[in-house]
Amino acid sequence: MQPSRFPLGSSLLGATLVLAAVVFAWARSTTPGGGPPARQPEPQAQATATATAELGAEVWAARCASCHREGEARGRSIPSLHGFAVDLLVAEGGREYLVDFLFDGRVRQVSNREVSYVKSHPEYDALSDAEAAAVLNHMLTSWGNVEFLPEEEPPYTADEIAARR
Amino acid sequence: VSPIETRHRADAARRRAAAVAALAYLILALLPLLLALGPPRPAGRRFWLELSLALGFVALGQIALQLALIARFQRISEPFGIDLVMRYHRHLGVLATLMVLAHVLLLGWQRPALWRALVPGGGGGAALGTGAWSTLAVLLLIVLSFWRRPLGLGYEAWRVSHALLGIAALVLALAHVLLAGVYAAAAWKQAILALWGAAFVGLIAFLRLVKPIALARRPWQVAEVRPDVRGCWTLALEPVGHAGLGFAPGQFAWLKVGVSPWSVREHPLSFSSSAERPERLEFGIKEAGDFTRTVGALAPGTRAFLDGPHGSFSCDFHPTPGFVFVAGGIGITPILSMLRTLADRGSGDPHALVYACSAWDRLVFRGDIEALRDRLDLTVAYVLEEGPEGWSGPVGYIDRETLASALGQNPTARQVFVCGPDPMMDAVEALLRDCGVPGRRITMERFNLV
Repeated sequence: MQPSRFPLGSSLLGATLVLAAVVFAWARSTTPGGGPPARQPEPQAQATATATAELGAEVWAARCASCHREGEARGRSIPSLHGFAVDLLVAEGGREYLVDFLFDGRVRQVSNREVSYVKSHPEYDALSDAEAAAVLNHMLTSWGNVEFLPEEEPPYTADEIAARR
Repeated sequence: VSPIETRHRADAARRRAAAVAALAYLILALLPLLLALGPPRPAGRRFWLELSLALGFVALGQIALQLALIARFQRISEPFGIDLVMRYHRHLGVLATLMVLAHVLLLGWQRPALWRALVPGGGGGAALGTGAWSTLAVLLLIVLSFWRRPLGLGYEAWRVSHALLGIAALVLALAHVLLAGVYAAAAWKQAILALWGAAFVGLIAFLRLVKPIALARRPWQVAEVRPDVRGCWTLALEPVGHAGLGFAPGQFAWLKVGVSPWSVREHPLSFSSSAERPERLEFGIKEAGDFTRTVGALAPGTRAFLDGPHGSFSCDFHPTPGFVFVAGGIGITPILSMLRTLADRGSGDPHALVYACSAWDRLVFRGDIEALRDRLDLTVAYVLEEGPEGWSGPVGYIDRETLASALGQNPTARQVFVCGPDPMMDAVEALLRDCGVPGRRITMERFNLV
């Protein structure tokens, strides 16, 4: 027996600290907490395209419009999404980037179109996969963006979001 | 008040002090995590992501607390003993490193895009950058600590690097949390975190910059360097312009000799002299490292500075009717201090000493111990790995019989003090428990502090 090798005190302290981290994570992951408003009900799996578009507009109005209004630039920190949203989508890695950005709140540069807004964004992890897909599609098809949207870029689906987030 | 009651009160006071210190540690270490729970907070997310962030916050607290653990606050370390506090520091430091790694790996798993953003030019931003640099500082600190010798890093250079990397890791981690925003996106949280972090950096600044001013006001000089057995010395200091230093027998002090009080060249040395003589301090030194090999050449009159006393390895903190001392090699030094003090105080209690050494002619301070037998009720058992010709005492390592005979009829009555090399202390502790000595009656000091 070599009790002195591992003093009880530091083992107990360490265990308490790890436990505190686990309890914190458990408590936070099971309560939506503050921040953005509560979760919207998910649409039926067989929702029509119209229903999805309505959902996108609804989420936009509830979560995004307070800052982005109808996609116009505001001051130095909020860029215009008119055209810019599609620029982001078609840039290299842009499709994944839009999803990451929505959930991560962090911005990296997207290179081939010299897109260089590097600002933070609120995290919207409380959005369901379907809501996230719908609101991204709403952004990419509104304010004339649909005119620039390449045909080979399909709309986001809830499955695609689920795989990425 | 009976001796038994005194003893119980001392035990209870120590337990209370230990509990208070542990609680304070937990509260201070968990402060960043508790702050994160305050409003405003983001919506709850998946468990693994939240766990990653929680581990990051706890690791931040741990890194900060390591600066406090080494800051030599006698009142905080007393109930534990400084060597135990140092081991806590090592364990908790390693745990903090594992938490930092878990934080990074979990976050990278949950947010794969962050790996790509880490590459230079990846657009990661300041929050990610400070986090990455802080992680590197922590890893470098651990590598230098575990592989200092193979890497050829000198002790003083290591200490400087250790302190600077520790401070860098804390400051960068704090910047990382403040910049990342998520849980710290409120002015009041940021203000508390900044003050909290500044307090810990301030502790180190106090220890390294302000405390030496106090040391400089109470200088010492080398009075004498006396050779003992081969490779062992007694260094005597006397105060210059002040009354000296009160200490409890068995404690130690950090010595800076022949350098400025701000120098990082300092050495933890145990007092070997009586606590009843604060005006002339003696230290027992064995040649082992860069400094100790040069002790013999120190000239009388050399200026010295002392930061102390430190440590809880003292019979004064464990009042029992008589004591049992177990020494290995140069570990006799603090025990000699206790025996000399007990003799000066006219102690009539029964004391026992078990003193293990490699050979008869390597027994440090044997003359002093023999002289103390006339002044104290002291039984001495020498245990030699190799006995000289005609040796009838025990040979080899300290065994159960020798300890049992030193402990006497009631193994729970007297406090047992053990000081020596690590393997010996572990073996003796196991044997003592086997003899029926409870853990609270065993006080140990490991002298390879550093």
